[in-house]
Amino acid sequence: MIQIKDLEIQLGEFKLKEISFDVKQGEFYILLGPTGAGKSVILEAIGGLIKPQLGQIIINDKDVSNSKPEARNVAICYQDYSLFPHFTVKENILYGLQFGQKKNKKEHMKDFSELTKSLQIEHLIDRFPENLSGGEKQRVSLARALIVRPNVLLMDEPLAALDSHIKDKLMRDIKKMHEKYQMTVIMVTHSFQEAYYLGNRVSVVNDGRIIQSGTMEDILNYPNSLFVANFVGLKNIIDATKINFNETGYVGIRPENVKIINNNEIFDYIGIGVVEEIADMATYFEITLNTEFGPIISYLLFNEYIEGHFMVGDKMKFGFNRNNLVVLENYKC
Amino acid sequence: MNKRIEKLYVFSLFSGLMILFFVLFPIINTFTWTKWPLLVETLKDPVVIEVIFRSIRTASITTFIAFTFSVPFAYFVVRHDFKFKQLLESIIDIPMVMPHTVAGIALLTVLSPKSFFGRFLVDNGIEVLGTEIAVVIAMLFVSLPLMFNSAKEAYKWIPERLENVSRSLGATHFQTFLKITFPLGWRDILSGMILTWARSISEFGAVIILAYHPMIAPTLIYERYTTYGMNYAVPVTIILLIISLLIFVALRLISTKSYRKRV
Repeated sequence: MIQIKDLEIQLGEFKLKEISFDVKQGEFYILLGPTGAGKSVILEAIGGLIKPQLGQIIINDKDVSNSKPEARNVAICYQDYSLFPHFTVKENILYGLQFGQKKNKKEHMKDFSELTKSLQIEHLIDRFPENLSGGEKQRVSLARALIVRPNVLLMDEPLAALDSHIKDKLMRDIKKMHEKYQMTVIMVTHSFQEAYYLGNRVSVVNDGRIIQSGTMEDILNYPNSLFVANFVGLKNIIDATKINFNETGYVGIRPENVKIINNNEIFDYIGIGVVEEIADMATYFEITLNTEFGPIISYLLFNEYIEGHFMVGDKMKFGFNRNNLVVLENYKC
Repeated sequence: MNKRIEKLYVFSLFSGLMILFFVLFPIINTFTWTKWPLLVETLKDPVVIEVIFRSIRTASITTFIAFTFSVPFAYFVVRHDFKFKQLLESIIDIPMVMPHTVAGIALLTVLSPKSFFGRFLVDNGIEVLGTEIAVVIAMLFVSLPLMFNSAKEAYKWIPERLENVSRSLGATHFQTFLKITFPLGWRDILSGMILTWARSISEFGAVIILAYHPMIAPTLIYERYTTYGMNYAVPVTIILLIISLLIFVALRLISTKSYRKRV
């Protein structure tokens, strides 16, 4: 179990304030937020690489706030892999075993074989990092971190530098590894998709503060601010009193649940908007409508939109259903 | 594929050839100046042999001292930001912009028995002026910035994240330096050592002020030139040149392969 209590860190002009959260044994915890929010600083503070001015970091009931990085038994994986260029893959993976914890060589090699097999890097062990692809490098970085059996694995945007098809495969493999080894993970990402797929719980970080913490469903269904709502893809925020659903305050609706009405389809709410923009996003179309609520965004799949059917400037009906609305409690516009 | 010949490239190539000519012509010409029997005779001269060995010895000791102090300090400077950091770096660079005789005089004001520190040394039976210690001090003063700056450059390109990963995997700071930082930077550090050694073995201005005797090779060449003329100066020059080139090439070969591109 990891507890972070009221952490405060000042780095030049940037300040991290009132950072508190806890991570259960075997949990996959996500720190989600935009670049420059302070997520990586939190991660490096947990790893002992940055010293907090205030607050406590407790790992397995031991206050490690003032401990050196090597005394914490946490392993870190960076976005840029940070493999040691003068070592082979095998030497990289086995690097951490020569310090501190002593196991016999047979046991080392058993762990090594199992990890390289699970991560599908058995055939790469004699290569140097410069001869590996990005995905392979990240797998090696993961194996190197896992072989020391850390109290917690810290991952700083591990998928950010990868091509999308490699990223998807590695993301699935990270999930499988987590399920197999039941390790405690804290991962930093700016991608809600990654966070949702991998994480059990999440803290949304912005401007040096935690804005909201909770399960993925909590964040997704009950965002507490416009910032969080936007971050989880809830792009349309509407004053609930304007849609006569007996709701008060604000509600949000995902763009994929807003439909442009071509025929006489039935929706709980039907409105009219002027098409402001039609953007081809490769796998879907993003339609921006100017409505009485302000801009409303709708995502249409290729079978839902035929090019030329309507154009920028056209007045179109749009609709959505009540059960797709997300009620934004405690939300201030 | 045929590349079009650009005028700029032609000019650049011409400039390069001029530079090569400028450097190589005097060196090659030196070998044509002497008579080979005189060179062989000089090689057998015990004074010459002693002086050459002294030059190599003092330059090597200087390089070792420069290495010992610069490598850890440069690491500290690269990894920390502190007030007056730039000022400190500029101070270390001062000897590079000083005329070497000025450097010699500056050192003499400290080591002369007329100064407080020089008197202290003499009173405690430590003889510095006119000894190999003085030669090393003079060499060290003018060449130390080269070692320090090379070590700094060596560490600058090594991402701190590699050290972070190493420490998170259980290595102490010192173990991390020995296993990650130094092995990655050592080829650049070795280049610095070559520069330091080359600068030391060629030092003349600062050395003759602190120690005309015991002679080092540049002093001997100067003495032979002023006393006996070119014919007696050139053979010693050739011997020093060959030894310097051999050591230089050997060390360069070792230090060519850097890890810079791999990170």
